[in-house]
Amino acid sequence: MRTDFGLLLKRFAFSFWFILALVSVGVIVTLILQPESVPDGALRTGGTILMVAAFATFALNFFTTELQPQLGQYILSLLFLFLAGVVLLFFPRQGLVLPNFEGDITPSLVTLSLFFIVAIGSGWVGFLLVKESPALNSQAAVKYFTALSVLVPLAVLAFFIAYTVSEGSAVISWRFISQRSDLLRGTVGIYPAIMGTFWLIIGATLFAVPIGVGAAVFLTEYARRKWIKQLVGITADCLWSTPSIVFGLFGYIFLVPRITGHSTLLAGQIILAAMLLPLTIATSTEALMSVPDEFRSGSLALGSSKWWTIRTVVLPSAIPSIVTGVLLGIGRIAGETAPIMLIAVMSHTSAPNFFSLEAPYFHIGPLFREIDALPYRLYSIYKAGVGGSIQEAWGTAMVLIALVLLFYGLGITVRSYFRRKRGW
Amino acid sequence: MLNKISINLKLILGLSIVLSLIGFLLIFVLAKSFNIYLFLIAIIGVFLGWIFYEDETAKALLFAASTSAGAILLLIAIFLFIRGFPAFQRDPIFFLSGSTWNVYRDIYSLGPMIWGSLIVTFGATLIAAPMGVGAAIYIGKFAPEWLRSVLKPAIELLAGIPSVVYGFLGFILLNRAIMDYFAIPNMGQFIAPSIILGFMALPTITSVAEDAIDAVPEHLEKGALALGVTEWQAIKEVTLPLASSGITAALILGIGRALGETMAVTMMLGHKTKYPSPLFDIFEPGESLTSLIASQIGEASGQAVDALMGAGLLLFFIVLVLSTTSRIIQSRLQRRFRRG
Repeated sequence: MRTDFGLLLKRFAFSFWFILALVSVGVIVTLILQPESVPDGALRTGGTILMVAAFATFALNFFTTELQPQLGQYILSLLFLFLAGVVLLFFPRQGLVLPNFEGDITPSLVTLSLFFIVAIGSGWVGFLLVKESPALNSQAAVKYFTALSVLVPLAVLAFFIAYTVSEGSAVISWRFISQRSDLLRGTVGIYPAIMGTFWLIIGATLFAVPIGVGAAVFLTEYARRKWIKQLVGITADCLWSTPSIVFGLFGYIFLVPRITGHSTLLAGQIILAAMLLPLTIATSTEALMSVPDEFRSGSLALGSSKWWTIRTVVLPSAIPSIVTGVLLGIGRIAGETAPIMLIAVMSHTSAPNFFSLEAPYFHIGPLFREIDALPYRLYSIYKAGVGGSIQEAWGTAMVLIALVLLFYGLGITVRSYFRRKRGW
Repeated sequence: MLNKISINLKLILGLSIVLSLIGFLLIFVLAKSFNIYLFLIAIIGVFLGWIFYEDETAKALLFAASTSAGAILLLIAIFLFIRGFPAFQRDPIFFLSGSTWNVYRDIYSLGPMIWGSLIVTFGATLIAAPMGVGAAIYIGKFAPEWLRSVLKPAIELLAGIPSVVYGFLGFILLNRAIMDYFAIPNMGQFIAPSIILGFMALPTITSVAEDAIDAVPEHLEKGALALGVTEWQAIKEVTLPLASSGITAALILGIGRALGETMAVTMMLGHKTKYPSPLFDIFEPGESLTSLIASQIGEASGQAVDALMGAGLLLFFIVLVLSTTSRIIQSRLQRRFRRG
């Protein structure tokens, strides 16, 4: 009987809270739709009431339960407090709005719906969470809040991508990606940047993949001592987490003076390869270790040498996973700006042109010249002051995101395709 | 007889490749020139070796490849040290804790930037740590298998969006929004990059923490469940304590990521190389170590370059310590469960 009473009180507290949440949402909606009709003082009062309600919920939960204190309810109360704080903090100044780029302030559906979702959602969950036993209560609360902490970042990601696409799709056209920007002819395009990024990726992959896969083969097939594996693991990890600007500085003081003395495509390729290398080593090591030992013993039993076994049996069966890892890695380095900023790029250079229709057909000259690259294009538009070429910036950002999504999509497709196909 | 000769030939070939390669690298690194002859000797040697002794040559090449990561790391460390150390040598205490960075008066100290980095990183950790670990618990323990295979790459994608795109979006959306909400006259407050960096560091924390949670043997949790506790109680009492060191490693790695993040911070901070006043005012424009380097290295000359290299060295060293610590914790955790 006593537990039932406590449960009743809790239900009461949550309904109280839920009604208040509804009221606050009403206030917020009114405020956004008709800011003049709500006086400033009313908002402060409303915020204070919300705060008091939060404390009341908190206290009720604390005193009414002879059961254990329950994490979920505390967090809910705190969330409520947070809501009240937001109301108190933001509203005295002006309506809760997101600015669009032109600078005029318009009420935004995003903000509105966000608040609606938070208030209604958490109120509803409050009801759902009240279960017969405290253990189940906290289980439900934790499940909800951990799910929320997956959802929130994904929502942010989706919002960013959607926003970029909605702004950028107006600019993207065949012309935009196949021409270069030219003030005299009045054209806007990012072809040189696309080609620059393309050659950066190609070069980085050509440098990093053989070395990275080779290192992984040595570690998994040849290295006997454990400390060698650990040492390479640690150095690869350190290289992976080295800040990208440090790579840029290193290229600036080490590579640039040793190549031509100014920014070059080659320097950019090498530095990006150094950034791609640790990921290649890590994923290839994992891929090679997952090849079953029976494959190796089978081949060795037939009398083939160790290297022959690696070449014909081990590597081919590990290739899909390696490809996946490399594709994901390329997705990451394609957007790197800080390292190439100092060593490879110059604004408004033309696309590197390796091939020609005449005699040598192939030139290595562009390797030793500056390039333009997509991420740098975006940064240099930002640096020049966004106002003028905001359209171009959104277009570039969208192409960049599309590129990253493409490589991720490819990687994941390869992974799932081969995972289904292989028998072990 | 023939065997002996061939062994000697192998030795000679190997030695000549190794020596010419070492010579080539030394000349490249120290004398800054590309010695084509030594390079050709090494290439031809490898080619010959591949024809006559494929197995041994392959092994040697693979060994060389495995030293590459270490070699690059070592080169970065050495060259940054050579160029960055002079800035520390002059007056290390002032360089690290003074309050002035003034290019016109040639006075350089990193105090405000170190403080700025701390503020931004701290803010980012406040967002990334609870959410990242929460997401790891959900993905690792609560999500059904099909959802898990969707959520994992989706969270990874969050780390894949280029940092310059984050910076641009943050600059256009968040900086403006914060400026308008709080009626602040100038842009580039600390709080904006903190929030964006929180989401950028989150995937690192989630994936490493999820690995740690995954590494805890399932039978331990099953045992608890058999006693009649709820799923969450089993996770709280069994899995999380065992994975706690791995989660710590994840947090350290996340902090390192946030600390080293460059472009987003550079685009969203206000580049004011002074301490905020009051010291904890996150609504004031500022500068971090990374954004200082990124925004000034292009135009710097003389002592300013030294100071920026010093900043790079400091950054490199801190992140190196953080990631090594994290790695050691991780491998200790793995070893523990492999034994047990």
